[in-house]
Amino acid sequence: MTHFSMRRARAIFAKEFKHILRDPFTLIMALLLPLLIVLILGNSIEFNIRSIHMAYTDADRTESSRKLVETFASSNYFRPNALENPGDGFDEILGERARAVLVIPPNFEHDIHGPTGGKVQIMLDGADNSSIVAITNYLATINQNAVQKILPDAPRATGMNLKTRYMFNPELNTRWFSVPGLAAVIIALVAIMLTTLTICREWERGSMEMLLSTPATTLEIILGKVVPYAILSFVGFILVFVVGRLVFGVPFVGGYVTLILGTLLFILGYLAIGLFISVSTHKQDVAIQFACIVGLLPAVVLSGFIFPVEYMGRIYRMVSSVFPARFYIDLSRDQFLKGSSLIDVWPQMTAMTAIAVVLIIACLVRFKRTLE
Amino acid sequence: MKRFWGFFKKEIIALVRDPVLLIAVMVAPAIQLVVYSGAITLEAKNLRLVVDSAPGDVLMDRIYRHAIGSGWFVRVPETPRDAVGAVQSGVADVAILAPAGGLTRAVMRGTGDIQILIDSMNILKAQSIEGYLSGIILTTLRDMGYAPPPSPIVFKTRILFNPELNTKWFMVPSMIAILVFLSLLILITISMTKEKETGTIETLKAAPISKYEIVLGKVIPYIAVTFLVMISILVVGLWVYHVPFVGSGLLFILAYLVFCVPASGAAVLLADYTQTQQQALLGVVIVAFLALMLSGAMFPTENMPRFLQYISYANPLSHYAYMVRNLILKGTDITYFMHQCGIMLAVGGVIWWAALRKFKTTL
Repeated sequence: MTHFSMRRARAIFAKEFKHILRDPFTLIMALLLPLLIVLILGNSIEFNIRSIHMAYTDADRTESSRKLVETFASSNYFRPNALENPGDGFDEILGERARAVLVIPPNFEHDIHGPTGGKVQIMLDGADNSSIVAITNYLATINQNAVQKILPDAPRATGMNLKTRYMFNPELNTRWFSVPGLAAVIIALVAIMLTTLTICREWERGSMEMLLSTPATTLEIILGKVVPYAILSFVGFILVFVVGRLVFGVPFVGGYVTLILGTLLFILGYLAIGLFISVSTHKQDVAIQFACIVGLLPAVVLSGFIFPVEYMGRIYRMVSSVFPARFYIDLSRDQFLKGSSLIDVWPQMTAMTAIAVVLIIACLVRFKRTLE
Repeated sequence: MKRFWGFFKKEIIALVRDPVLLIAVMVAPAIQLVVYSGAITLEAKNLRLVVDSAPGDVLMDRIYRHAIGSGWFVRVPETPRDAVGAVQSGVADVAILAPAGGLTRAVMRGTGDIQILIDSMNILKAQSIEGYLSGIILTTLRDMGYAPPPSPIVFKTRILFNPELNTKWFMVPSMIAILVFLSLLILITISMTKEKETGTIETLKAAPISKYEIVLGKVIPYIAVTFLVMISILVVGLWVYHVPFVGSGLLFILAYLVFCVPASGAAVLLADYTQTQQQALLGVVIVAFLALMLSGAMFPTENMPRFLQYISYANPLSHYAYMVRNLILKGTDITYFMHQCGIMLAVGGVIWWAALRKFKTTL
């Protein structure tokens, strides 16, 4: 074996690149997929829920009870829908026709002025856990508004006020939150899917023997195969970035150098994961199973893309640290919204570098062993 | 029937012959279910809190102790001098700033603003921090007799079907639907494109069998395999996370069979348009990812723009995920069940029509 030769690595790179160009389906998918996903999901993920279906029964039928229902309706959070029979509320939730049920008992108006206060019952659908926190928060606001509407003369709560200020995303804009995370998830998907089959396809078709009979070294083969996909993934990233800025108006206050450096490390990590699957198996169908297991759900579920990593148990946090996505999502959100300097994000950078280096070494070792 | 049985055996043998593949298909879903359902929680933890208060501010200290004692918040390792800077630099997630002169004195005066400063890069986290902290501050003030009078309108909230809001109860049904869909899609699509790539599909086409027999022979073995996968992950999920199964087991199985119509149709359609396994993999991922993200199985999708809502309405995974959740946690509403099945069958019919039209048996 000779030293690393740039010329040979370039030859393998050129060969792999021709493979990509000859398969327009893969090329289009690799570029169109990021664009499509960010456009669709950027529009569809929304945590500020509106128009929650709410069934209600009003046994009081007074001005106050009507005003209470009106408060719900005018909040835009709820869409109240009158029920004939008070007992039907449970069935409405059971049959997925309502998410919430409001039951106003008789004497509601009378009780408001009494010492106990007017009590109404609200039933919420606990089976859909993802929206219930938001719904409970809305209820607090609606309660205040209802009091003002029904009892305009009631003494306002004076004295101590709580003032909340949200830093980096003052209006809690869902897009600002979801798009930087989506960038990571999409690149992870594309990078793994593109590289998983590169090596085992050559084994399955028997062209690997040919490649091995050339003077190219393991490192040259691996690099020559990875670089074209790295370029493709990076183009995908640029598309997502442009769409995020122009279509969704996400601010970018960070440094381009930091973001690009982080993105390259992140891409390298995921390409290495794909490659590792590829060198670990000689069969495409097995590789595909593992690509879907490793590529699809962890980047969505364990990365902090939606569910905060800090909330997870210790073991799960350790599992999530194996994937570069967790660190990249931190970095990407930071660069879009907060703009820390390159020095401040060193933990994320170091972690991603470490993961990539370990995986590439593992690929080389594993590849050598298969040869022997 | 004999021909079909031959097909069935061939597909099963192809799967069983490779132990790694068998593990990936049969065992991995259960592990994934346990890991993802266990990992995801909406219950806040490890939120780093700093408090900016003057020494001797009794009320502020009490709020801080309550917050740390709640289990949601943790102390910042070394107390920074500047609370605002701590949030800005990412040392803390949230800071409470006492009014000028301290909270205790402000309460005596009767006016003052308590400021809460929250890092909102993750909006879900920011919302829960706000909820928890304002609750803690209000309770502390009320305990000391400084809070505003209670509202004359009382909302008595009751949460049905999952009263403790256990995220695992929500995740297990969702993961079952997602993993079942993934299993069907990957197995059927890959099995069909593999025949194309290796050229063995020509042999099949040359054989004296109709295209329906080929397609069914490819689809039904994997429906059977996925059924076993589904039962195994259901048992593991219920057992590990103590999720109650309220509904009818028979309807649960029926729901799976109905879901197989659009899901396997989608797999065949995808295989029609892909020639190599590389293409199939990309196709599977894009279909699975979009179906998953638009299904409402993990986060709410009700507030999508109108045109996306139509897509979501045609998304069989969305209907199946809601149905599995309904069956496991709520029991059974037969009208709802029929309605969901009707949609899935209608969508499945359209997908199958397209898939069979494209599927050619001629060379």
